Amino acid sequence: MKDFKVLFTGSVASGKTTAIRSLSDIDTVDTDANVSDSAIRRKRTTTIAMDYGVLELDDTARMHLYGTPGQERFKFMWELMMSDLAHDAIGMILLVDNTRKDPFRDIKFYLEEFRDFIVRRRMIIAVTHSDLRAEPDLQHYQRVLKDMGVFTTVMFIDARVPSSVLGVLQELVGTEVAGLDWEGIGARLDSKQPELPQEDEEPAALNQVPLLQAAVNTRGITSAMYLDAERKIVDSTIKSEIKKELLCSMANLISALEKKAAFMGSIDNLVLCGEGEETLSVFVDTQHALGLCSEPNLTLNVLKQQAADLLQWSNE
Amino acid sequence: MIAALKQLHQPGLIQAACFLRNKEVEASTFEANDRNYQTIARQAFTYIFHNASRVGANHNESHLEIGHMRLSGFLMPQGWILVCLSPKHSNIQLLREVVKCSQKGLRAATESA
Repeated sequence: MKDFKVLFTGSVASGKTTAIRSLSDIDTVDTDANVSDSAIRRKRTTTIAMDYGVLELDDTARMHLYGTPGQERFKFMWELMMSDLAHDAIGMILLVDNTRKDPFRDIKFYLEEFRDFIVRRRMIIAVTHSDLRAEPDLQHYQRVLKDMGVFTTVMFIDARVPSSVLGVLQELVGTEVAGLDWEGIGARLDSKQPELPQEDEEPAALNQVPLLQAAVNTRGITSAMYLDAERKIVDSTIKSEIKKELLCSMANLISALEKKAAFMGSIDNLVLCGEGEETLSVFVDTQHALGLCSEPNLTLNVLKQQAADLLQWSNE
Repeated sequence: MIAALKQLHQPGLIQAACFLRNKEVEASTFEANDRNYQTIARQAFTYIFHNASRVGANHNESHLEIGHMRLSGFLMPQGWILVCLSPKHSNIQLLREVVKCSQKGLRAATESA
């Protein structure tokens, strides 16, 4: 029996768990826990360690399917998988959630994080959730990726449909694993699949939870304010006048710097912290900004990722 | 003061540093190419720590990510502000550790100024 491995990665709620469940012939091993972060806007549970499944290719070969957790705070698992569990994988599938405000930011991030891993093997970008948001389309992806210097295959898939995910696998490893009846495998997997939708990872609709509510339900964040493109407060749950005043002054500072120092690049965030004090932060993008009060023990890395995820899924 | 600032330099972590006081740059290792960052840091951290102090908050550390870089400001005794320039994706915890471990030398430098 020949054994092959493939690694699935991508942002939280991009469909990694669903894709592996779609392909696996065994009951998948997953490590779901209740969401306690910004992903609450999209799903109730999240992978905290890894997903694992097995696809029988034929009587002589099988594919081991490994999925990473999406959140950066589980980065230690990414490293463990790259260096140990999936170090001999023949390829990587990067799942990209098309409903994120800037999917290319995710692509850049994961390409950078997995750079050493993909430099030695093939990687394909599989775009999910295009049924919920059709843009950017395939041509847009191809154009932007070319500008980024990323030359790889991009495929739009439905992670819930086995034959759709299998198409990516075939594109990725078809030349390595020759002589397989891919159509037959797809038909076999599709016939086992119950009616759609069946996955808890699949969002029923976007923005079920408002941005501010999602922010304050996120682990470590105590209150938040939402600001528009002009950095003016639209809504706030911050009760302390002092904190509100400080966050407003931070937003004003960002607004001034954006006007005076635009040539130096965009401002991503401004953070203010101190021993025993709640951390105050303002995270911005072109359309809006989020002011956050968070517990002092929440690390800045986790805070940054939480805020980026909240803004990435926001249409408000 | 320059020697104390240079001791902070670490490849990939801290590429320049300066001391601010009373809205002025008192000592700096910023290269000419990075002077725009120094100007931003001077205005931003002076303003933000002044505001924190005005409302009685004890915040004494601030980080601003702009372009590909991160500016970090640390409020020190006697109104001194230490500024570090780092790549945006560098390890912020490591940066804090470096600054924390260098506190003695940094304070000595500001006290002797």
